[in-house]
Amino acid sequence: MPLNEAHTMNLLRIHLMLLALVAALSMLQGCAGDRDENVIRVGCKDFTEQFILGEIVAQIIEAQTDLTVRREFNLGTGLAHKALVGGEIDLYVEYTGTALLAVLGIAPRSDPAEVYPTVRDAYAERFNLRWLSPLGFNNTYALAVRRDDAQRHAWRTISDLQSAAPRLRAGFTSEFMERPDGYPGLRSAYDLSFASARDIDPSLMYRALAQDQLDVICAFATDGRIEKYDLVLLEDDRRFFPPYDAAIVFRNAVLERHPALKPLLGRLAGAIDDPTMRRLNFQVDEHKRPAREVASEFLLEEGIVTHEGGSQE
Amino acid sequence: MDRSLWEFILARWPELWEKTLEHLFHLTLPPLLIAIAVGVPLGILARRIRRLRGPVLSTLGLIQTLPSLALLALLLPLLGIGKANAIVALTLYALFPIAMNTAAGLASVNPAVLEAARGLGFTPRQRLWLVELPLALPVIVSGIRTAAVIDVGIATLATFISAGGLGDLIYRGIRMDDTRLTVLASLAAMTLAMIVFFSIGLVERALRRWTGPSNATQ
Repeated sequence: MPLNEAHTMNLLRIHLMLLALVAALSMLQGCAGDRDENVIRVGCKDFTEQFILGEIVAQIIEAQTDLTVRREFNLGTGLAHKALVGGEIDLYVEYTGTALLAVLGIAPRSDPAEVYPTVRDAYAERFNLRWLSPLGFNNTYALAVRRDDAQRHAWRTISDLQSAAPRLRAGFTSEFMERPDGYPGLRSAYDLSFASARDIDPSLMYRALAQDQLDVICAFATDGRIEKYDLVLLEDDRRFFPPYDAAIVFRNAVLERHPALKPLLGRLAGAIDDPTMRRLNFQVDEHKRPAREVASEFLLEEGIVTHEGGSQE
Repeated sequence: MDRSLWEFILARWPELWEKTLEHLFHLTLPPLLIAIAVGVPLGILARRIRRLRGPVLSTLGLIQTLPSLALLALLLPLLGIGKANAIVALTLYALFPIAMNTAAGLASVNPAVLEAARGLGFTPRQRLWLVELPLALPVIVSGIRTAAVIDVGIATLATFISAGGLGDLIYRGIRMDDTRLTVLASLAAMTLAMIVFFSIGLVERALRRWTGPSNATQ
Protein backbone atom coordinates (compact mmCIF):
# COMPACT_ATOMS: atom_id res chain seq x y z
CA MET A 1 0.00 0.00 0.00
CA PRO A 2 2.48 2.67 -1.05
CA LEU A 3 -0.26 5.23 -1.46
CA ASN A 4 -1.64 4.78 2.02
CA GLU A 5 1.80 4.84 3.51
CA ALA A 6 2.60 8.08 1.78
CA HIS A 7 -0.72 9.43 2.99
CA THR A 8 0.07 8.49 6.59
CA MET A 9 3.52 10.04 6.31
CA ASN A 10 1.98 13.21 5.01
CA LEU A 11 -0.51 13.33 7.83
CA LEU A 12 2.27 12.78 10.33
CA ARG A 13 4.27 15.55 8.78
CA ILE A 14 1.33 17.92 8.91
CA HIS A 15 0.74 17.04 12.55
CA LEU A 16 4.35 17.68 13.41
CA MET A 17 4.29 21.00 11.62
CA LEU A 18 1.13 22.02 13.43
CA LEU A 19 2.70 21.05 16.73
CA ALA A 20 5.75 23.12 15.97
CA LEU A 21 3.52 26.04 15.04
CA VAL A 22 1.53 25.77 18.27
CA ALA A 23 4.75 25.58 20.26
CA ALA A 24 6.13 28.64 18.52
CA LEU A 25 2.90 30.56 19.03
CA SER A 26 2.71 29.72 22.72
CA MET A 27 6.28 30.91 23.14
CA LEU A 28 5.34 34.17 21.47
CA GLN A 29 2.31 34.39 23.71
CA GLY A 30 4.60 33.86 26.69
CA CYS A 31 6.59 36.89 25.69
CA ALA A 32 3.61 39.12 24.93
CA GLY A 33 1.16 38.36 27.71
CA ASP A 34 3.89 38.10 30.26
CA ARG A 35 3.57 36.31 33.54
CA ASP A 36 5.73 38.86 35.27
CA GLU A 37 3.57 40.38 37.97
CA ASN A 38 5.89 43.33 38.37
CA VAL A 39 5.19 44.78 34.96
CA ILE A 40 2.40 47.33 34.57
CA ARG A 41 1.25 47.84 31.04
CA VAL A 42 -0.01 51.37 30.52
CA GLY A 43 -2.21 51.90 27.48
CA CYS A 44 -3.39 55.02 25.73
CA LYS A 45 -5.46 55.98 22.73
CA ASP A 46 -4.11 57.58 19.62
CA PHE A 47 -4.25 61.33 20.18
CA THR A 48 -2.05 63.91 21.88
CA GLU A 49 -3.94 64.23 25.16
CA GLN A 50 -3.86 60.46 25.60
CA PHE A 51 -0.12 60.27 25.01
CA ILE A 52 0.45 62.95 27.66
CA LEU A 53 -1.86 61.25 30.16
CA GLY A 54 -0.30 57.86 29.42
CA GLU A 55 3.12 59.35 30.11
CA ILE A 56 1.96 61.03 33.31
CA VAL A 57 0.61 57.74 34.66
CA ALA A 58 3.63 55.75 33.46
CA GLN A 59 6.14 58.20 34.96
CA ILE A 60 4.43 58.29 38.37
CA ILE A 61 4.55 54.50 38.60
CA GLU A 62 8.16 54.46 37.43
CA ALA A 63 9.24 57.16 39.85
CA GLN A 64 7.44 55.95 42.95
CA THR A 65 7.40 52.15 42.78
CA ASP A 66 9.75 49.33 41.89
CA LEU A 67 7.38 48.15 39.17
CA THR A 68 8.44 48.10 35.55
CA VAL A 69 6.19 50.04 33.17
CA ARG A 70 5.56 49.01 29.62
CA ARG A 71 3.91 51.53 27.31
CA GLU A 72 1.28 50.08 24.98
CA PHE A 73 0.37 53.39 23.38
CA ASN A 74 -1.55 54.44 20.30
CA LEU A 75 -4.79 52.41 20.43
CA GLY A 76 -8.21 53.47 19.08
CA THR A 77 -11.18 53.72 21.47
CA GLY A 78 -12.48 50.26 20.59
CA LEU A 79 -9.01 48.71 20.69
CA ALA A 80 -8.03 50.24 24.03
CA HIS A 81 -11.13 48.89 25.72
CA LYS A 82 -10.71 45.46 24.13
CA ALA A 83 -7.08 45.33 25.19
CA LEU A 84 -8.02 46.22 28.78
CA VAL A 85 -10.79 43.66 29.02
CA GLY A 86 -8.55 41.05 27.35
CA GLY A 87 -5.78 41.73 29.88
CA GLU A 88 -3.29 42.97 27.29
CA ILE A 89 -3.02 46.29 29.10
CA ASP A 90 -3.61 47.07 32.79
CA LEU A 91 -4.97 50.61 32.64
CA TYR A 92 -5.67 53.58 30.41
CA VAL A 93 -7.45 56.92 30.69
CA GLU A 94 -11.06 56.83 29.46
CA TYR A 95 -13.76 59.51 29.28
CA THR A 96 -17.10 58.97 31.02
CA GLY A 97 -19.23 59.98 28.03
CA THR A 98 -17.29 57.75 25.65
CA ALA A 99 -17.60 54.82 28.04
CA LEU A 100 -21.32 55.42 28.45
CA LEU A 101 -22.21 55.60 24.77
CA ALA A 102 -19.44 53.99 22.74
CA VAL A 103 -18.52 51.16 25.12
CA LEU A 104 -21.61 50.42 27.21
CA GLY A 105 -24.14 51.51 24.60
CA ILE A 106 -26.33 53.14 27.27
CA ALA A 107 -28.57 56.02 26.20
CA PRO A 108 -27.37 59.48 27.25
CA ARG A 109 -28.31 60.61 30.76
CA SER A 110 -30.05 63.91 31.15
CA ASP A 111 -28.29 64.53 34.45
CA PRO A 112 -24.53 64.88 33.96
CA ALA A 113 -23.90 64.01 37.60
CA GLU A 114 -25.32 60.59 36.97
CA VAL A 115 -22.86 59.62 34.26
CA TYR A 116 -19.78 58.86 36.37
CA PRO A 117 -21.55 56.58 38.90
CA THR A 118 -23.44 54.84 36.09
CA VAL A 119 -20.27 54.11 34.18
CA ARG A 120 -18.29 53.14 37.28
CA ASP A 121 -20.91 50.63 38.44
CA ALA A 122 -21.49 49.15 34.99
CA TYR A 123 -17.74 48.66 34.41
CA ALA A 124 -17.33 46.96 37.79
CA GLU A 125 -20.21 44.64 37.13
CA ARG A 126 -19.69 43.83 33.47
CA PHE A 127 -15.92 43.94 33.00
CA ASN A 128 -14.45 43.75 36.53
CA LEU A 129 -12.76 47.10 35.84
CA ARG A 130 -12.32 49.95 38.31
CA TRP A 131 -12.79 53.64 37.57
CA LEU A 132 -10.53 55.82 39.74
CA SER A 133 -11.66 59.36 40.62
CA PRO A 134 -11.91 61.82 37.68
CA LEU A 135 -8.71 63.72 36.84
CA GLY A 136 -10.54 67.05 36.84
CA PHE A 137 -11.15 68.04 33.21
CA ASN A 138 -14.01 67.45 30.80
CA ASN A 139 -12.85 66.88 27.23
CA THR A 140 -16.25 67.28 25.67
CA TYR A 141 -17.00 67.56 22.01
CA ALA A 142 -18.09 71.07 21.10
CA LEU A 143 -19.03 72.67 17.83
CA ALA A 144 -16.51 75.38 17.02
CA VAL A 145 -16.80 78.31 14.61
CA ARG A 146 -14.59 81.27 13.68
CA ARG A 147 -14.92 84.22 16.06
CA ASP A 148 -15.77 86.73 13.31
CA ASP A 149 -18.59 84.46 12.06
CA ALA A 150 -19.92 84.04 15.59
CA GLN A 151 -19.93 87.80 16.15
CA ARG A 152 -21.40 88.71 12.76
CA HIS A 153 -24.28 86.22 13.05
CA ALA A 154 -24.65 86.39 16.84
CA TRP A 155 -24.12 82.65 17.23
CA ARG A 156 -23.81 81.68 20.87
CA THR A 157 -25.43 78.26 21.04
CA ILE A 158 -25.70 75.27 18.73
CA SER A 159 -29.40 76.08 18.26
CA ASP A 160 -28.36 79.43 16.76
CA LEU A 161 -26.77 77.53 13.86
CA GLN A 162 -29.99 75.91 12.76
CA SER A 163 -31.14 78.44 10.19
CA ALA A 164 -27.64 79.01 8.78
CA ALA A 165 -26.72 75.32 8.62
CA PRO A 166 -27.78 74.72 5.00
CA ARG A 167 -25.10 77.21 3.93
CA LEU A 168 -22.35 75.90 6.20
CA ARG A 169 -19.55 73.44 5.45
CA ALA A 170 -18.96 71.11 8.38
CA GLY A 171 -15.87 68.98 9.04
CA PHE A 172 -16.06 66.13 11.54
CA THR A 173 -13.64 63.40 12.59
CA SER A 174 -14.28 59.82 11.48
CA GLU A 175 -15.29 58.85 15.01
CA PHE A 176 -17.68 61.78 15.33
CA MET A 177 -19.32 60.71 12.06
CA GLU A 178 -20.09 57.30 13.53
CA ARG A 179 -20.66 57.70 17.26
CA PRO A 180 -24.15 57.97 18.71
CA ASP A 181 -22.87 60.99 20.67
CA GLY A 182 -21.53 62.40 17.42
CA TYR A 183 -23.05 63.68 14.19
CA PRO A 184 -25.93 61.15 13.84
CA GLY A 185 -27.31 62.10 17.27
CA LEU A 186 -26.44 65.77 17.05
CA ARG A 187 -28.21 66.13 13.71
CA SER A 188 -31.49 64.89 15.10
CA ALA A 189 -31.16 66.57 18.51
CA TYR A 190 -30.76 70.00 16.90
CA ASP A 191 -32.43 69.31 13.55
CA LEU A 192 -29.31 70.42 11.71
CA SER A 193 -28.63 69.82 8.04
CA PHE A 194 -25.32 71.24 6.84
CA ALA A 195 -24.53 72.06 3.21
CA SER A 196 -21.79 69.44 3.46
CA ALA A 197 -20.26 67.34 6.20
CA ARG A 198 -16.90 65.86 5.38
CA ASP A 199 -14.59 63.53 7.22
CA ILE A 200 -11.45 65.30 8.39
CA ASP A 201 -8.41 64.35 10.42
CA PRO A 202 -8.51 65.94 13.91
CA SER A 203 -5.02 67.38 13.45
CA LEU A 204 -6.09 69.24 10.29
CA MET A 205 -9.54 70.50 11.27
CA TYR A 206 -8.66 73.51 13.44
CA ARG A 207 -6.49 75.10 10.79
CA ALA A 208 -8.97 74.22 8.02
CA LEU A 209 -11.64 76.11 9.97
CA ALA A 210 -9.35 79.08 10.62
CA GLN A 211 -8.41 79.20 6.92
CA ASP A 212 -12.05 79.29 5.85
CA GLN A 213 -12.02 75.86 4.21
CA LEU A 214 -14.72 74.80 6.67
CA ASP A 215 -17.29 76.71 8.75
CA VAL A 216 -17.99 74.35 11.65
CA ILE A 217 -15.93 71.58 13.26
CA CYS A 218 -16.36 69.19 16.17
CA ALA A 219 -13.59 70.52 18.40
CA PHE A 220 -12.28 68.86 21.52
CA ALA A 221 -12.81 71.24 24.43
CA THR A 222 -9.28 70.68 25.81
CA ASP A 223 -7.47 71.35 22.56
CA GLY A 224 -5.06 74.27 22.79
CA ARG A 225 -5.61 75.16 19.15
CA ILE A 226 -9.06 76.61 19.97
CA GLU A 227 -7.35 79.61 21.52
CA LYS A 228 -4.51 79.69 19.02
CA TYR A 229 -6.86 80.04 16.04
CA ASP A 230 -9.28 82.27 17.97
CA LEU A 231 -12.22 79.89 17.64
CA VAL A 232 -15.48 80.04 19.57
CA LEU A 233 -17.16 77.01 21.13
CA LEU A 234 -20.94 77.04 20.84
CA GLU A 235 -22.94 76.26 23.92
CA ASP A 236 -24.67 72.87 23.90
CA ASP A 237 -28.01 74.43 24.91
CA ARG A 238 -30.00 71.23 24.52
CA ARG A 239 -27.47 69.30 26.60
CA PHE A 240 -26.87 66.74 23.88
CA PHE A 241 -23.27 65.92 24.79
CA PRO A 242 -22.74 63.96 28.01
CA PRO A 243 -19.81 64.97 30.23
CA TYR A 244 -16.49 63.45 29.15
CA ASP A 245 -14.69 63.47 32.48
CA ALA A 246 -11.34 61.76 32.15
CA ALA A 247 -10.38 59.08 34.67
CA ILE A 248 -8.00 56.14 34.92
CA VAL A 249 -9.64 52.76 34.34
CA PHE A 250 -7.82 49.88 35.98
CA ARG A 251 -8.08 46.10 35.94
CA ASN A 252 -9.26 45.04 39.40
CA ALA A 253 -6.90 42.06 39.44
CA VAL A 254 -3.88 44.34 39.08
CA LEU A 255 -5.09 46.78 41.75
CA GLU A 256 -5.53 43.89 44.19
CA ARG A 257 -2.04 42.63 43.47
CA HIS A 258 -0.51 46.11 43.86
CA PRO A 259 -2.74 47.97 46.34
CA ALA A 260 -0.25 50.84 46.64
CA LEU A 261 -1.11 51.95 43.11
CA LYS A 262 -4.53 53.20 44.11
CA PRO A 263 -3.48 55.94 46.56
CA LEU A 264 -0.50 56.72 44.33
CA LEU A 265 -2.57 57.38 41.21
CA GLY A 266 -5.31 58.84 43.40
CA ARG A 267 -3.06 61.89 43.73
CA LEU A 268 -4.02 62.76 40.17
CA ALA A 269 -7.70 63.08 41.15
CA GLY A 270 -8.80 66.61 40.35
CA ALA A 271 -5.20 67.58 39.58
CA ILE A 272 -5.71 68.47 35.91
CA ASP A 273 -8.40 71.04 35.13
CA ASP A 274 -9.53 72.16 31.65
CA PRO A 275 -7.03 75.02 31.24
CA THR A 276 -4.15 72.83 32.45
CA MET A 277 -5.00 70.07 29.99
CA ARG A 278 -5.36 72.63 27.19
CA ARG A 279 -1.93 74.04 28.04
CA LEU A 280 -0.30 70.58 28.06
CA ASN A 281 -1.92 69.64 24.73
CA PHE A 282 -0.77 72.91 23.21
CA GLN A 283 2.83 72.23 24.20
CA VAL A 284 2.78 69.03 22.16
CA ASP A 285 0.50 69.99 19.25
CA GLU A 286 1.92 73.41 18.50
CA HIS A 287 5.37 73.50 20.05
CA LYS A 288 6.03 69.93 18.86
CA ARG A 289 7.51 68.95 22.21
CA PRO A 290 7.59 65.25 23.13
CA ALA A 291 4.68 64.12 25.32
CA ARG A 292 7.20 62.47 27.65
CA GLU A 293 8.89 65.79 28.37
CA VAL A 294 5.63 67.73 28.83
CA ALA A 295 4.36 65.04 31.21
CA SER A 296 7.47 65.01 33.39
CA GLU A 297 7.47 68.81 33.54
CA PHE A 298 3.86 68.73 34.76
CA LEU A 299 4.65 66.13 37.44
CA LEU A 300 7.58 68.24 38.69
CA GLU A 301 5.50 71.43 38.77
CA GLU A 302 2.72 69.74 40.68
CA GLY A 303 5.21 68.25 43.09
CA ILE A 304 3.91 64.76 42.42
CA VAL A 305 7.40 63.70 41.40
CA THR A 306 10.21 65.65 43.05
CA HIS A 307 13.01 65.31 40.54
CA GLU A 308 13.65 63.43 37.38
CA GLY A 309 13.68 59.70 38.05
CA GLY A 310 13.63 60.35 41.79
CA SER A 311 10.92 59.19 44.12
CA GLN A 312 9.12 61.01 46.85
CA GLU A 313 8.01 59.09 49.91
CA MET B 1 -27.63 35.54 5.13
CA ASP B 2 -27.40 36.62 8.75
CA ARG B 3 -30.29 38.96 9.35
CA SER B 4 -28.34 41.53 11.35
CA LEU B 5 -25.70 41.70 8.61
CA TRP B 6 -28.43 42.29 6.07
CA GLU B 7 -29.90 45.05 8.19
CA PHE B 8 -26.45 46.57 8.53
CA ILE B 9 -25.99 46.68 4.77
CA LEU B 10 -29.45 48.16 4.25
CA ALA B 11 -28.86 50.83 6.88
CA ARG B 12 -25.53 51.72 5.29
CA TRP B 13 -26.70 51.59 1.70
CA PRO B 14 -27.53 55.29 1.04
CA GLU B 15 -24.20 56.45 2.42
CA LEU B 16 -22.29 53.67 0.66
CA TRP B 17 -23.89 54.64 -2.63
CA GLU B 18 -23.16 58.34 -2.12
CA LYS B 19 -19.51 57.66 -1.27
CA THR B 20 -19.15 55.26 -4.22
CA LEU B 21 -20.44 57.89 -6.65
CA GLU B 22 -18.10 60.46 -5.09
CA HIS B 23 -15.24 57.98 -5.42
CA LEU B 24 -15.99 57.47 -9.11
CA PHE B 25 -17.00 60.92 -10.32
CA HIS B 26 -14.80 63.11 -8.12
CA LEU B 27 -11.74 61.02 -7.36
CA THR B 28 -11.32 58.50 -10.20
CA LEU B 29 -12.64 59.87 -13.51
CA PRO B 30 -11.26 63.45 -13.39
CA PRO B 31 -7.65 62.40 -12.71
CA LEU B 32 -7.94 59.54 -15.21
CA LEU B 33 -9.22 61.80 -17.99
CA ILE B 34 -6.56 64.43 -17.28
CA ALA B 35 -3.90 61.71 -17.24
CA ILE B 36 -5.10 60.40 -20.63
CA ALA B 37 -5.07 63.91 -22.08
CA VAL B 38 -1.52 64.50 -20.83
CA GLY B 39 -0.10 60.96 -20.79
CA VAL B 40 -0.88 59.90 -24.36
CA PRO B 41 0.82 62.98 -25.92
CA LEU B 42 3.77 62.47 -23.55
CA GLY B 43 4.00 58.85 -24.71
CA ILE B 44 3.92 59.94 -28.37
CA LEU B 45 6.60 62.54 -27.63
CA ALA B 46 8.72 59.96 -25.87
CA ARG B 47 8.42 57.68 -28.90
CA ARG B 48 9.08 60.40 -31.46
CA ILE B 49 11.92 62.27 -29.85
CA ARG B 50 14.61 59.89 -28.75
CA ARG B 51 16.28 62.43 -26.46
CA LEU B 52 13.12 62.95 -24.47
CA ARG B 53 12.31 59.27 -23.97
CA GLY B 54 14.62 58.63 -21.02
CA PRO B 55 13.91 61.82 -19.03
CA VAL B 56 10.10 61.73 -19.54
CA LEU B 57 9.56 58.08 -18.68
CA SER B 58 12.00 57.97 -15.80
CA THR B 59 10.52 61.12 -14.24
CA LEU B 60 7.03 59.65 -14.41
CA GLY B 61 8.38 56.35 -13.08
CA LEU B 62 10.04 58.16 -10.20
CA ILE B 63 6.74 59.85 -9.27
CA GLN B 64 5.14 56.41 -9.30
CA THR B 65 7.54 55.24 -6.58
CA LEU B 66 6.56 58.08 -4.20
CA PRO B 67 4.49 56.63 -1.36
CA SER B 68 0.94 57.79 -2.08
CA LEU B 69 0.10 58.73 1.50
CA ALA B 70 3.23 60.89 1.61
CA LEU B 71 2.43 62.60 -1.70
CA LEU B 72 -1.00 63.60 -0.40
CA ALA B 73 0.59 64.99 2.75
CA LEU B 74 3.32 66.80 0.79
CA LEU B 75 0.72 68.53 -1.37
CA LEU B 76 -1.13 69.79 1.73
CA PRO B 77 0.86 73.03 2.15
CA LEU B 78 0.37 73.81 -1.56
CA LEU B 79 -3.22 72.80 -2.16
CA GLY B 80 -4.77 72.43 1.30
CA ILE B 81 -7.35 69.83 2.19
CA GLY B 82 -9.91 68.52 -0.26
CA LYS B 83 -10.46 67.25 -3.75
CA ALA B 84 -8.03 69.42 -5.76
CA ASN B 85 -5.12 67.96 -3.85
CA ALA B 86 -6.36 64.39 -4.36
CA ILE B 87 -6.99 64.94 -8.08
CA VAL B 88 -3.45 66.25 -8.63
CA ALA B 89 -1.93 63.29 -6.78
CA LEU B 90 -4.09 60.71 -8.54
CA THR B 91 -3.33 62.27 -11.95
CA LEU B 92 0.38 61.94 -11.25
CA TYR B 93 -0.03 58.26 -10.40
CA ALA B 94 -2.05 57.57 -13.54
CA LEU B 95 0.46 59.25 -15.90
CA PHE B 96 3.19 56.61 -15.86
CA PRO B 97 1.24 53.52 -17.02
CA ILE B 98 -0.52 55.56 -19.71
CA ALA B 99 2.58 57.29 -21.14
CA MET B 100 4.66 54.12 -20.83
CA ASN B 101 2.12 51.98 -22.67
CA THR B 102 1.58 54.61 -25.35
CA ALA B 103 5.30 54.66 -26.11
CA ALA B 104 5.50 50.86 -26.01
CA GLY B 105 2.39 50.46 -28.18
CA LEU B 106 3.77 52.79 -30.83
CA ALA B 107 7.11 50.96 -30.77
CA SER B 108 5.34 47.67 -31.43
CA VAL B 109 3.89 48.82 -34.77
CA ASN B 110 5.44 46.82 -37.61
CA PRO B 111 7.91 49.05 -39.55
CA ALA B 112 6.75 47.43 -42.81
CA VAL B 113 3.25 48.78 -42.22
CA LEU B 114 4.67 52.28 -41.69
CA GLU B 115 6.74 51.91 -44.85
CA ALA B 116 3.64 50.92 -46.77
CA ALA B 117 1.74 53.93 -45.41
CA ARG B 118 4.58 56.17 -46.48
CA GLY B 119 4.50 54.54 -49.94
CA LEU B 120 0.80 55.32 -50.15
CA GLY B 121 1.64 58.98 -49.61
CA PHE B 122 0.36 59.40 -46.01
CA THR B 123 1.59 62.53 -44.26
CA PRO B 124 3.23 61.98 -40.84
CA ARG B 125 0.06 63.24 -39.18
CA GLN B 126 -2.11 60.85 -41.18
CA ARG B 127 0.25 57.99 -40.35
CA LEU B 128 -0.04 58.73 -36.62
CA TRP B 129 -3.84 59.00 -36.56
CA LEU B 130 -4.78 56.42 -39.17
CA VAL B 131 -2.08 53.79 -38.76
CA GLU B 132 0.05 54.00 -35.63
CA LEU B 133 -2.49 54.96 -32.95
CA PRO B 134 -5.16 52.48 -34.10
CA LEU B 135 -2.58 49.69 -34.14
CA ALA B 136 -1.18 50.68 -30.76
CA LEU B 137 -4.65 51.10 -29.24
CA PRO B 138 -4.85 47.75 -27.38
CA VAL B 139 -1.55 48.43 -25.59
CA ILE B 140 -2.52 52.04 -24.81
CA VAL B 141 -5.88 50.93 -23.44
CA SER B 142 -4.31 48.33 -21.20
CA GLY B 143 -2.17 51.16 -19.76
CA ILE B 144 -5.31 53.20 -19.12
CA ARG B 145 -6.92 50.20 -17.44
CA THR B 146 -3.92 49.76 -15.17
CA ALA B 147 -4.02 53.46 -14.31
CA ALA B 148 -7.75 53.31 -13.54
CA VAL B 149 -7.39 50.37 -11.16
CA ILE B 150 -4.44 52.06 -9.43
CA ASP B 151 -6.47 55.27 -9.02
CA VAL B 152 -9.55 53.55 -7.57
CA GLY B 153 -7.26 51.97 -4.98
CA ILE B 154 -5.15 55.00 -4.11
CA ALA B 155 -8.26 57.22 -3.96
CA THR B 156 -9.23 55.41 -0.74
CA LEU B 157 -6.34 57.29 0.90
CA ALA B 158 -7.88 60.64 -0.06
CA THR B 159 -9.88 60.50 3.18
CA PHE B 160 -6.72 61.54 5.05
CA ILE B 161 -6.79 64.93 3.35
CA SER B 162 -10.54 65.24 3.71
CA ALA B 163 -11.30 64.58 0.04
CA GLY B 164 -14.08 62.04 0.67
CA GLY B 165 -14.79 58.84 -1.21
CA LEU B 166 -14.97 55.27 0.02
CA GLY B 167 -11.85 55.79 2.12
CA ASP B 168 -14.06 57.75 4.56
CA LEU B 169 -16.06 54.63 5.37
CA ILE B 170 -13.01 52.34 5.40
CA TYR B 171 -11.26 54.63 7.87
CA ARG B 172 -14.38 55.11 10.03
CA GLY B 173 -14.56 51.32 10.28
CA ILE B 174 -10.94 51.23 11.42
CA ARG B 175 -11.44 54.04 13.94
CA MET B 176 -14.56 52.50 15.42
CA ASP B 177 -13.19 48.94 15.30
CA ASP B 178 -16.17 48.13 13.08
CA THR B 179 -14.80 45.53 10.69
CA ARG B 180 -18.09 45.16 8.84
CA LEU B 181 -17.99 48.77 7.73
CA THR B 182 -14.40 48.50 6.52
CA VAL B 183 -15.13 45.28 4.64
CA LEU B 184 -18.32 46.65 3.09
CA ALA B 185 -16.61 49.80 1.80
CA SER B 186 -13.61 47.80 0.57
CA LEU B 187 -15.92 45.48 -1.38
CA ALA B 188 -17.53 48.54 -2.94
CA ALA B 189 -14.08 49.85 -3.98
CA MET B 190 -13.20 46.47 -5.50
CA THR B 191 -16.47 46.31 -7.39
CA LEU B 192 -15.95 49.84 -8.63
CA ALA B 193 -12.43 48.97 -9.85
CA MET B 194 -13.81 45.97 -11.77
CA ILE B 195 -16.65 47.97 -13.32
CA VAL B 196 -14.22 50.69 -14.44
CA PHE B 197 -11.83 48.03 -15.78
CA PHE B 198 -14.47 46.33 -17.91
CA SER B 199 -16.10 49.60 -19.03
CA ILE B 200 -12.80 50.75 -20.48
CA GLY B 201 -12.76 47.49 -22.48
CA LEU B 202 -16.20 48.34 -23.87
CA VAL B 203 -15.06 51.84 -24.83
CA GLU B 204 -12.08 50.28 -26.61
CA ARG B 205 -14.35 47.98 -28.62
CA ALA B 206 -16.52 50.90 -29.65
CA LEU B 207 -13.42 52.93 -30.61
CA ARG B 208 -12.15 50.09 -32.78
CA ARG B 209 -15.39 49.77 -34.61
CA TRP B 210 -15.30 53.52 -35.15
CA THR B 211 -11.76 53.42 -36.60
CA GLY B 212 -12.99 50.57 -38.83
CA PRO B 213 -10.70 50.94 -41.87
CA SER B 214 -7.58 50.35 -39.82
CA ASN B 215 -8.81 46.89 -38.97
CA ALA B 216 -8.07 45.99 -42.57
CA THR B 217 -4.39 46.64 -42.01
CA GLN B 218 -4.18 44.27 -39.05
